[in-house]
Amino acid sequence: MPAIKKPMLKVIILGDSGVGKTSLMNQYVNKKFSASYKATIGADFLTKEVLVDDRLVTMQLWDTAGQERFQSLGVAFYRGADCCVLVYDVNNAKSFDTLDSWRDEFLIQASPRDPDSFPFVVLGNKIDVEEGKRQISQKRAMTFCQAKGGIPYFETSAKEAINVEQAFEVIARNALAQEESEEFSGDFQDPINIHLENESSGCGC
Amino acid sequence: MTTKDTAKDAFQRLRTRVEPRLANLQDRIAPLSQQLQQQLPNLTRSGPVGVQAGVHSIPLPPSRNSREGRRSVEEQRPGSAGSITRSKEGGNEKRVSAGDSKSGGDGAGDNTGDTDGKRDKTDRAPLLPLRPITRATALSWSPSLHTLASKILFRSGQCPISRGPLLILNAAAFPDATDIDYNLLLPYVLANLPSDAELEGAEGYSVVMFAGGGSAAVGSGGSVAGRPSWAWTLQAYHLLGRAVRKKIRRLWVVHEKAWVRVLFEMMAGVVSGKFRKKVVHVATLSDLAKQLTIQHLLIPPSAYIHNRKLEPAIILPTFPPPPVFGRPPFPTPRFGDPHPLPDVLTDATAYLRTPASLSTEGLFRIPASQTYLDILRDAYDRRQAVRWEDWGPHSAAAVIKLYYRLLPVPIIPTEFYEQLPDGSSEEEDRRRAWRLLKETLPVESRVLLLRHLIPLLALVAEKEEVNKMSAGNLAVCVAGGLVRGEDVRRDAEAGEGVRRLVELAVREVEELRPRLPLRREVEGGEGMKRKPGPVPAAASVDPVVRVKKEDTDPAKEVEKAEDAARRPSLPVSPSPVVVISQSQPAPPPPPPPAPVVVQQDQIPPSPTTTASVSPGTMSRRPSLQPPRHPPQLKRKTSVPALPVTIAPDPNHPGTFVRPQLRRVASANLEVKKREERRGSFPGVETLRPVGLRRGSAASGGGLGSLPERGDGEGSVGGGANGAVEKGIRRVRSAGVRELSLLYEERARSIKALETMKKP
Repeated sequence: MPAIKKPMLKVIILGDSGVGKTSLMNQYVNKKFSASYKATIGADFLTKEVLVDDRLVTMQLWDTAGQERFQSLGVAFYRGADCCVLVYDVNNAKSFDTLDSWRDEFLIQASPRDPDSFPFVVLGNKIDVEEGKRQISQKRAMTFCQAKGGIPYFETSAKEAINVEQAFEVIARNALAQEESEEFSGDFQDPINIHLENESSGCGC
Repeated sequence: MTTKDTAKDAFQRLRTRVEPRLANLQDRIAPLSQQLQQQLPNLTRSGPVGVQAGVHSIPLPPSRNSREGRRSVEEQRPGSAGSITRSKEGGNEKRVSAGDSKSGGDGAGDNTGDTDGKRDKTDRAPLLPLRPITRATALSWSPSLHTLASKILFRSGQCPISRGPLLILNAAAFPDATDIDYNLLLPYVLANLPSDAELEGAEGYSVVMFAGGGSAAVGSGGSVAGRPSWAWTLQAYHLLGRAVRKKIRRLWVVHEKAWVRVLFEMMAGVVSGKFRKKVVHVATLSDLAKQLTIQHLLIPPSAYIHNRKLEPAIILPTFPPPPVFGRPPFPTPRFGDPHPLPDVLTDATAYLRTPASLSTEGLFRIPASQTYLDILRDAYDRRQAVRWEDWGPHSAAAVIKLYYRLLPVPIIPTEFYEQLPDGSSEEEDRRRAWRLLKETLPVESRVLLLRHLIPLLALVAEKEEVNKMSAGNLAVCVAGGLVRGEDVRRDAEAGEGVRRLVELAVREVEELRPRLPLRREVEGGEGMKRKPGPVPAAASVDPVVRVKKEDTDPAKEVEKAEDAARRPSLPVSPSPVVVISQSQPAPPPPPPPAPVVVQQDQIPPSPTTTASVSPGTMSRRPSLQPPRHPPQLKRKTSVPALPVTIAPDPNHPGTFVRPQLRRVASANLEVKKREERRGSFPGVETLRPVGLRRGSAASGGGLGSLPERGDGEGSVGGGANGAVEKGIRRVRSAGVRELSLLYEERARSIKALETMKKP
């Protein structure tokens, strides 16, 4: 069997500022948690090679800045994404409320072929914070994910490395599935018509 | 007619009027009688009639006496600055010395003993023994309940009909009945009403009730279940003073709900037919705007949110003013200050500067609710007064960011992208940054950056350990909004340079200070506020800018100022920017005063520290964070104040040194630097010397200036005036604590009386 070219999976991480996007990515890729509180500039990506069902794939994780101003930069970053990870902070109701708009924003900017089947994953981060501060219950998040077409949902803690590995495994799997479906449908794209014959008349020599 | 008869009557009339709804009402009324039954045994058991240490005795019947009692509280106020008068019903009075009540927690227990010692023996009214005031009950003044109550009922300027106070009753703020004991809450709510004494002189007062909202509130709003019980409502009514009952001129009910309608039917039954005529039902805020100037109302968020469901926008009957957002920042140069900071910036900044706001984690990073942001933007475009405590620090930060982002000419226009710090070397970066900030950028940009954004961010960055926002972090979060060219990609690239610029400026804000382009050395408002002694008339009255043109380099200036600061005899601002130096022609005449507000937390924890707390500072305390009781006393007495005077500046004849507090003890450089930075912050109430002066008068006079709160101007402006309002409210809360105990007792006594009369 001929070796298939190693797929590159582009994963976009979105969510309000301060919910822990960078921390999640760092925890997954570098197995590190930094307590420093740093706002991300623009966007940044890390890559990681993972085995998905015995296939080696490269995950390109795009970490975005949650700042409003950077949202308009989305188009460039979102294009060609295979999976979109929506992160919110379980202790911050507002960050959960905006998930929907982040999702819409992504669908508009990235304009995937089939918006309904495009894989999203929702992560409720910071579950290590004491229970009393929690504002979004697991049930409420699950209901939201169900309503949006059964989005997989994980409760994570980048700090304590809870569920991070599992979540990204699902992300990788979904991204791979998406990538393959894109490749498949890609064969039917219209070839670019160069119109060589018509234009040849323009040359006088 | 006794109160009991009234109540009974009310029920009878209600029965005929709202028969269909009554069935469901009945089970709500039932708990009242049950409660009374339960209390009866307690009351009879609670000891012999008479006065004994630790027993609070309340004379009955309460109706007349208590009103007088309450009035006497009010009357005492003007003279009792710094002390709280507790008036016993029926004329028993006692004074709690400032020292006693200041000690807060443990002071209350002693107060009771005090009371008995000074009890007026002429009291002839029959006494009903009530539950002894134990330490626990006396301490039960709860800041959280107070905060809650101030969201339910609060003042908002002047009644357009009577010129008396205008109150807002926000139904959405009623907490869930399962969370909060409404009986405990009642006195706190009632305490926000105008007193009989205040109403005596006035023609009356009005109330705007926002009945809608609640569950829809974003963040901490009310809840669906949140509504008072009927028993509670009735009880509340019975506790109202005569003037409060009679002098209501108009009650606007906005966003009516079914239960509110029922409530009013019921109230109309209890009160009179006349009451019904005073109630005006209004569907939306636009409709309300036809009846009164809603721009002066401190409309709570829940009401806005509810209103958005009913109408797409609030339409004013008058021609709308030009919007604030997306307009040039300084459209109309005014006399005295060519560059007044826009109100939206000063208001939001005043709120952000409170210690509680500054310690919010992720300030300027965490986004605000988009709904809030939209509402606030509309509100400022409409020139609406805003009570920032209702909206939270993240909203304030977001509004500031939004304002900058929407400026017609971005702060850093495209043509300056090349001049931004490029990160090649630190010196080069600094050179480029300083050049931009001091010389090349458009004057509007420089004014906004140097007088507002940079100092504000510096203030935030100073609390980095708490709010986690370092200069670098803040720069990342803010930089994006300062560039807005045609090409997004170019902007993004320039963003890096802007980030460096902002970070550098925030970090080294002190270095920028001597060159802050716009400053004024004498502030009427601030100076007045701070100074207990006589003021040179020129300094206090004349708000006109004094400019000193001279060609000195900033370093010299600093030296001079530091020199002046070192003089022990002269209390001088440690800030080097005492005198304006306008060595360059570019920036237009100096700005309004940069008020130096000494924040409590800025006083270093040295035991030898001396500082007087300016009233302005107190008034800017966050009201979301409930004041320790009694708030102002504690601060005032904790550190003795140095006398501060406005003195002519020895270095510059004809100018005055901004008075500021000097710490007696060692001025180590670090601390001084910090102080300077804070002192330099020119953000806010600069444009409102009047408001500041009012604030000083109010706080200085203690409770004496309370009636002034009815004054529309004071409450309209938000910002400094809002802060003054807050300050007064807070001063009041100290008295309220005493008062609320009385109310509580009185409520019980009425109940007890009714129950005893029953059989």
